[in-house]
Amino acid sequence: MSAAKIDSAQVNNQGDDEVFELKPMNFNPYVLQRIAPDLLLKKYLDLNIRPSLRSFNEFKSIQINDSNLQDNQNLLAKTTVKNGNTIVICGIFAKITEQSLTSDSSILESSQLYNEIYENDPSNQNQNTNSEFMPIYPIIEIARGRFGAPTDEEMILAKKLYNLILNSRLIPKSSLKINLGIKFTDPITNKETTYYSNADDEKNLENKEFNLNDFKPKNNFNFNLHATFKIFNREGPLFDIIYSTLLKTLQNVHLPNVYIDEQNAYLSNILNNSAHSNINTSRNKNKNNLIEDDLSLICDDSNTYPLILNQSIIGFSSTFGFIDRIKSEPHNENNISPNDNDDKETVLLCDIEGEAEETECYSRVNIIPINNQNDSDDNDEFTYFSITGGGSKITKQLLRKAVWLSKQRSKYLQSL
Amino acid sequence: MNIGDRRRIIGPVNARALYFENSKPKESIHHTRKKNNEIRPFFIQTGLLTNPNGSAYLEIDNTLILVSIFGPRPIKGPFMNKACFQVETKFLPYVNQPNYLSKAYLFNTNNNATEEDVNIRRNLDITGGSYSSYSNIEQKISSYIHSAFLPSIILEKYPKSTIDVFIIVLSANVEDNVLSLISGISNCCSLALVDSGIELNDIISTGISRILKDNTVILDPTTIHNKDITDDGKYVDAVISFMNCKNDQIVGFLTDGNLNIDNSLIEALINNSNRMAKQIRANIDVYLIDQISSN
Repeated sequence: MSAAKIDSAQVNNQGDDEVFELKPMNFNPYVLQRIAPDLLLKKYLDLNIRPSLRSFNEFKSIQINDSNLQDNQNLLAKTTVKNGNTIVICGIFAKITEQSLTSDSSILESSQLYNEIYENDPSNQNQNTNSEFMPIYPIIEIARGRFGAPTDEEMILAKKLYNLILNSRLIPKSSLKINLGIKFTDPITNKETTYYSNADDEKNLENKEFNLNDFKPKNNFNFNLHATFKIFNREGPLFDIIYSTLLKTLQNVHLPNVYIDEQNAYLSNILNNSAHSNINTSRNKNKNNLIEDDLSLICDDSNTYPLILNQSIIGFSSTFGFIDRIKSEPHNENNISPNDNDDKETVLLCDIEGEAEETECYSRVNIIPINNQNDSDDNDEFTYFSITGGGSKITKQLLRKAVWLSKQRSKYLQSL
Repeated sequence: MNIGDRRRIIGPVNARALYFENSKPKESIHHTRKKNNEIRPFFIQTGLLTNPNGSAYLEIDNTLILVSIFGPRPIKGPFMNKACFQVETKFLPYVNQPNYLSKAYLFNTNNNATEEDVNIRRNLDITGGSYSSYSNIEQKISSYIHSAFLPSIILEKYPKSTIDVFIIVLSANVEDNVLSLISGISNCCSLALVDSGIELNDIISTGISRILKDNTVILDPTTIHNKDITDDGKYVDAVISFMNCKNDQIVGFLTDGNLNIDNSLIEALINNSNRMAKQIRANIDVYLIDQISSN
């Protein structure tokens, strides 16, 4: 792309014979996009191309690498995504929190009651409150050569991501609940065995000599998922790529099984309760005495299970910018209201990139469609839809186009 | 929510990091086996990032380091006749930092772990405590790089500006020691500075050597060598930075270990580290010449 040119002008000072001539100034596109982004964008759009040399409906290239470089046990999943020139490294790790039944047992009991009511009623399955879903805790760092506190953009992105994951109900609480196992050591053979209670065990419970639940602490333990993003080469709005990276990473998360050693179970208590444990297990619910203060929950990284996500809302985000440009060809359509805007048309730009587009495109539409599980018809459900007005006229037609493009993009990203 | 840090969403305060019983890292295919007098092969690339003025990427075994240079950039404030030079080191939050690792490592190899070791392991916070402050090890690395590169950069050429170095450790070899990491970071910084086009007195190259009690010399000690020293326990490591084209001037020196250091030992450490530094310098030079000729 050749450099831009500012028209030369002749200035004739009255009363002075001298004629000053202003010479045309040439700038290369990188300089011009900083000093006159509107001019640069206009010049490119007139040529039916964008400053990034992409066409209007063309998304940035994307490359996803979920190499499982498990150099660190704490890291549950890691994805590196290259989107255009932008590189996003996303790592997810977990922490464990304990929910004490003694402190808020009443709240939990009422919520359990609530669950029982709603779980038994299939028509109400979608009406659970957000309290049955977990957020993730994102930390976003954009490499910009700055020290110190996070920038506004980083804070806004993190908050938006946090709210979106929680409110879109992506991660059910049940997927992050820890099913605590107990490790027993055979005193004679020294063989260590870890038991996890599962559905089969519960069926056969009566045949067993002991009830595994008696050995467990009565408190609930949950995983908390933390995501960190490190972004290099920022060259446009980042929400789409961050959300896509997060989804891709979450789909790779494997949580470890967690157990406690039998030595940590408070045996005398179990012995006391064993006689009537099968009759009334909830009796000692409020006794917090099965837990030591420093109970060590041990994770077994050789024994993991995949994180279960709410598949019905998975879809990938796309943002479109809208900008006016002078019509390149005169249209033959009948103009309904002839006015000044006649010669303008609004064009849709996929994946805003570069300083010129970012500073000039204020009208934006951000869409996260829901991907169809079966590839039959289109479904018209969305996880997120936002329209920001910024001066350009967003017509129904353009919106339809944006929706269609976002669905195609989402399907494509899903397939990667 | 934590009220200490309102700008970040850092999750519940009472959350505990995961604790793995079998925390021995999985045997990685990336562990290089080498002779004592050899150095590990490494991968370098410059210009990976376009936003900073210069950048370099270095990979040795599982250690991945990315350095970006921002500058010279103008700064506000009173006139300064030379550039201000700053270094920031950050580990990605989930990367184990070597100071924690040394404890973790001791705990693994030593069956008689004390109560204290167990507690240290249990209370490890993998984020290093906080997102906003720097850990000891990050500060240590930053200060080494700062003092080693200060003589190299011609700061007088850039009045009233600032040169910022950002070091990001994307992944660290779980059992590597700090000094080995510092040597990698230092070599990566040299490349990034060259890439940024900032004027330098010389490219700094850094070597690391280890001397055991029986005077065995190991260049570029790795994870495998770390296992050797646990039985005997007496060793000294030195990471030393040189300006090889300026009469091998030493610009940085850091030792670690428990051998008594005397003059002859220091001389041996310098000589051996210099041997490694020269090999690295030769590699860097070839890479840079290749780049010029390919452009």
